Amino acid sequence: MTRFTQNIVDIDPHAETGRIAAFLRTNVRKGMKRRGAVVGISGGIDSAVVLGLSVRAFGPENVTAVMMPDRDSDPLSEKLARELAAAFGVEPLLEDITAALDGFDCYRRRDSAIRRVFPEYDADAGYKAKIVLPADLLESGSLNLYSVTVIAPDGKQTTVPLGPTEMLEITAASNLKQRSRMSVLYFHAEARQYAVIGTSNKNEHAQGFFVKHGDGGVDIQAIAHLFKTQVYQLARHLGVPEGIQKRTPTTDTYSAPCDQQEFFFRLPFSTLDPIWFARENRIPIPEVARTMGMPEVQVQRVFDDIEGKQRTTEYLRLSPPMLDAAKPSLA
Amino acid sequence: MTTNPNDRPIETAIRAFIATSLLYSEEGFTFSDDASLIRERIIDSLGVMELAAFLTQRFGVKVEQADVRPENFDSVAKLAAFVRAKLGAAHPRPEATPLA
Repeated sequence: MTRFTQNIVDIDPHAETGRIAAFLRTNVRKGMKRRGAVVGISGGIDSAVVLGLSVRAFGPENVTAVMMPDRDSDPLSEKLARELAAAFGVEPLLEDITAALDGFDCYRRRDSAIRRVFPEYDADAGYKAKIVLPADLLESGSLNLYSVTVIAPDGKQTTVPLGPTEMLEITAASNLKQRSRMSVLYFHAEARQYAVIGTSNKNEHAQGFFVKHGDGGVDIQAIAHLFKTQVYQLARHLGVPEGIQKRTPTTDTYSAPCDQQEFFFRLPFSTLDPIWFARENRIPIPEVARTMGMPEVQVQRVFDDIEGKQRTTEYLRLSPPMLDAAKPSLA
Repeated sequence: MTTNPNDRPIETAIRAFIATSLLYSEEGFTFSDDASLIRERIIDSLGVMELAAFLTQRFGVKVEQADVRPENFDSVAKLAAFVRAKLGAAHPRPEATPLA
């Protein structure tokens, strides 16, 4: 057994790039009988790496990169996505989904739920909002109780707890974004006889940080086996632009800037990933605590948080159950 | 549903809420009051929010973010003790009566 270190999840990026490119080529061409790849690019690290891997697998002439901002997206996302596409020799397509989301009544449905817990919230007047979890996983081990943070036009931030009804409505409305993007990606894939390549990493896929039939609605997962820190290793190897490598991972879903740590993961990936590895490989908690330089109780809290999220999001990864064939009637 | 001749109304109400609103169970709450709601996969993050809303609505206790911890929320017994502590702090008396 390899000795547990803080760098335990480090990989050989050259070898892993080759392995993933071969995996994509074999499954898409031989398994799915599709010619190339469609990748939704957000200006974030995961889709950047998947675009780079897809270009390695199929060549830039067989890869379509699609940018799908909406009115809440950070303009920086499109700028970085264009830099990325240029770096990998792919011509990016721009599909603004704001009108589609208006058609679904996405914004009104979401904002009316926010107003029920924060009546002054008015997006037209410049208020912004985001959904957050408590940040103190290591210190308190508090359970995952979501709140909404509203930022007023004067910059004043107020955080109020969400009720279950409001949380469900905000989530359902926001998920229209990911499902609209999935529809756009499949339009481009079907028009070209390409496959849609998934961009979820292991942290997102295994802990349920994706939308079922949204960003989870893909033909093949390219990096769902990689921890986020491993994705960064591949990004450096593939030559992903610096601006994307240095950008804080963001949900880019809510109108206020919201990083993935405050929305979901509650820890820096450099801490989360080796502890997750330790849990999967049954490394004793005292050894993990000693190596990571933290009390055993904090390691246990991280173990519990990972386990809880994996367990409670199984529904997202579940294929629709179906019965075996019905028995023919003897009559 | 667990039956107990010495049953107390707070535990009964919590068990009934979990059975009907979180488990969608036709058999009622079939676990012990000390069973871990997290480990037994009875509550997820939405379930935590639903429980917090239920405690406020049913017993009139204000649930703060800092209260939402396994020590208070991970079993029927812990939830009931949390409610009693909150009610006792607000209205000190031997046994608090839940709101109707």
